[in-house]
Amino acid sequence: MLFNSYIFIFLFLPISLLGWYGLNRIKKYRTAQIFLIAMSLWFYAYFNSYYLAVILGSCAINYLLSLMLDGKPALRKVVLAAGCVVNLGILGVFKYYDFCVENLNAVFHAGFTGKNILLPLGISFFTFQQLSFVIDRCRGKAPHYGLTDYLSFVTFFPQLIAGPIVLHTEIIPQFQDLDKRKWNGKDFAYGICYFVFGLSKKVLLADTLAGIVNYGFSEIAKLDTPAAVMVAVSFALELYFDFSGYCDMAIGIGRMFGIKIPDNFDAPYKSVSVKEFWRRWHMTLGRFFTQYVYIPLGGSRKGTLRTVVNTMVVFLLSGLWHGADYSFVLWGFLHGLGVSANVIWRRFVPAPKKETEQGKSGFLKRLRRFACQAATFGFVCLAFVFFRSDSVADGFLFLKRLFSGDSYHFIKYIADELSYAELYVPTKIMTMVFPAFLREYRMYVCLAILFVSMLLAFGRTTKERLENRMLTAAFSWKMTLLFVWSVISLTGVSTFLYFNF
Amino acid sequence: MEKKFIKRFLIQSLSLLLLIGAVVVFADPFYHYHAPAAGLKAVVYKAEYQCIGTIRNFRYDGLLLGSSVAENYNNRWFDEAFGCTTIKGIKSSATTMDLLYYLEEAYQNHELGYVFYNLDLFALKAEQKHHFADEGMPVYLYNHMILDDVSYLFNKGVLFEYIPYQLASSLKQDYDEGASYNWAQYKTFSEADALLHYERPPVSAARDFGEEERQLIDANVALLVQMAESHPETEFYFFYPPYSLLWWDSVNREGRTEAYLYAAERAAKALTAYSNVHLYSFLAEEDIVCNLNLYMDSMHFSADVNRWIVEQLKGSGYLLTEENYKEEMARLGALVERMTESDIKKYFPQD
Repeated sequence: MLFNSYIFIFLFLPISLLGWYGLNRIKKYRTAQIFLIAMSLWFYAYFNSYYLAVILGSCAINYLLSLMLDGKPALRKVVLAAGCVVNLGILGVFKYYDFCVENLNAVFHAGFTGKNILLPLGISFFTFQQLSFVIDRCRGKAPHYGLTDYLSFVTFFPQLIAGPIVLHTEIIPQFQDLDKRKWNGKDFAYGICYFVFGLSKKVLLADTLAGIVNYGFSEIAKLDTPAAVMVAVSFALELYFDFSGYCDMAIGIGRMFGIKIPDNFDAPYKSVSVKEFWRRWHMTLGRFFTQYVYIPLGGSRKGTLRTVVNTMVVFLLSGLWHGADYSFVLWGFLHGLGVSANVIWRRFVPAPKKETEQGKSGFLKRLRRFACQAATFGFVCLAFVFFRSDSVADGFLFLKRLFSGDSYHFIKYIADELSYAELYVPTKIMTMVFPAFLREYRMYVCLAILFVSMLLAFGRTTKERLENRMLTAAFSWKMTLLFVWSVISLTGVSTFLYFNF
Repeated sequence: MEKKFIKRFLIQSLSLLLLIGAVVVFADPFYHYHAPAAGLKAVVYKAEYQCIGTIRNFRYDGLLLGSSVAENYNNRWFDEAFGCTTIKGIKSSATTMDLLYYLEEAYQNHELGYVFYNLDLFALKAEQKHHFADEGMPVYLYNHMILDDVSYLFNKGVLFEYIPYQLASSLKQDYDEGASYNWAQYKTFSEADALLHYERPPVSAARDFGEEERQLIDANVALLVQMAESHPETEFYFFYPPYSLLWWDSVNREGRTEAYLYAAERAAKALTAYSNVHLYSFLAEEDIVCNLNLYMDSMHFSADVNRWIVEQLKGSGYLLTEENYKEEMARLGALVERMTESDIKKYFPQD
């Protein structure tokens, strides 16, 4: 089920909330938790009941592994190895089997056939979530939880299919805290606001930008430089609004249930380096890789070369996690290079100390900051080209068009292909009154959408906009209008990009 | 303060959504709930979204069924010729099951005096399924579930685009309600256009006609017969539309000629046996099919041809009967052979 669907908003969410608070109110705490698990499984299996077997099987295996350690700490290494093999094995079979077969065929000129297995929704997310639990358990940092608590942690629907990747220490204690089972007006009100912000980011911004992106990537060979720049920037913005919108909705729904879900984005496009970008973008994935891959490999404690190698390993894995295709691997590789360049740069050019910065004028500091932000954003946009391309070759073709220096107003052709229901009447009037300027009008509409999107992406985060805000009558109207506008925009909107990962 | 905010938000949102829903129900641009509201005209131009609503909710006793080649008929031509009130049931590349689905829906609460059925040869060979539950179709308009009507009631396309268009069209004095789904006014018809839009397929060695195709055609014909048999109160006017020689050329190169000729004859044999069925064939009308100036591509002809066909349906010049259908089919076979072997060389001399 999608958050941005009528069935979720008008049926699933109200039923879930009523059941949860109703059962908790009559002190049926365990029943309330079981009810929420059942609802989460309905949410998960809405599109395909086969998914249910995958997630329940995965939960059962990890729960049994945890149980094996109960009172038998000597089994730690065995359980750790089994946990890694089983979890990564499940992910490997469902997500990477065909990719491996293609590679084997290419290398050995073999004729193995792929299985075309339907990728279960969010398998990368719940697998990593459980893997982190098993590793913590083996490190002695996690107790063996009751089955209800464990299933609540894995299946809690707001974070189930596209993250954030939550840790057991963040979620299970909240389910165990019976004080949190009482309805809290403040949490609920802010939960609504987070949800409305996230919904509008997804439906009004990401899906509108998707029109530019989809057309641009379907006509790569025809792009001129300005159009390629517009498409690349649009995709970076689309992806941000899409995924951060989803996470805002997840956080909002969590808060409606009294459960705090960690932030996943912190204005990533304001970053002044690629390294900082990864502290602000998909933060819970970065946390997972840092805690469970980078630090165990030695992190930055073993010299510059080893730091660079560890960084590259993490980003290659991150690329592969996002998708079983070399375009994702290349995307990860580029980000690894970007972060490594930051690491090496800092070895030779230490960060300016506050005292030395004090002498510089505010203007120079702002200029330097702006230049770094622009360079980082440019790098991220270029790398995302591979993320969006169907193949590495398409990605390079896109870059070739981007740096071609050609300019034949292809933006107008893109703008001609797009239509916005909200602007139907003004466009018709333009057609009748100023038919000669119709193409220019469409192009300026397109550019205006891009401009507004950039302002929002580079502006305050949802958290900054909402926390400690007075919930006035005027604000309730703003939220209402945003919500209703989003709801009437639901039909025909695209699916979340991150469901494929 | 938070409780007040939540209360305000819920009441305001619900009220606004109810208001939007009420506007959509009243204007109902897809005619999902009712025929045009008082003062509004029937503004019908988007088949996938409006056909089913008009079939269920309009008042009529004549139904014109067909694919895109039937879209340029004006309903009024049938009304004048047959003294009935006609609407269209159109589906692009319609299968037999698609059109019979419309017909069954129409019979649910209408007494039909006339059914005008554009009998496409490809529909007789099409798979036996209708496509109204397919992904990409607005299924909420076809099923009878009230709950999924939210996709219609809370839909910015409906609100900002279709309702304003419906209102603006209703205000036009000269808006022609009979020209539903017509597109001919946006196209040009000429030999150059027909050839420009014709992608000549390579010659296929395979012959696309075996037992499986024969059974499929027989089954589709049986469905038509069954429909005619179960509604003796309705006069069925079936007619084969005139496809251009370019269409027959592509069919021939792909090895489908035999199948289509079989389909035409099989349907003729079965349908001419019923007194409430009138079957016309314009397939072999040389003045049309060999004149590419009447086409925009290999099969879509100008509205003048549509008008001419309606006039012929009143007479018997192109009527197939139990006595003459074999002869007419033989004439068609000979024409197809001539067109695909010699006439086509005028346009593709290298072959």
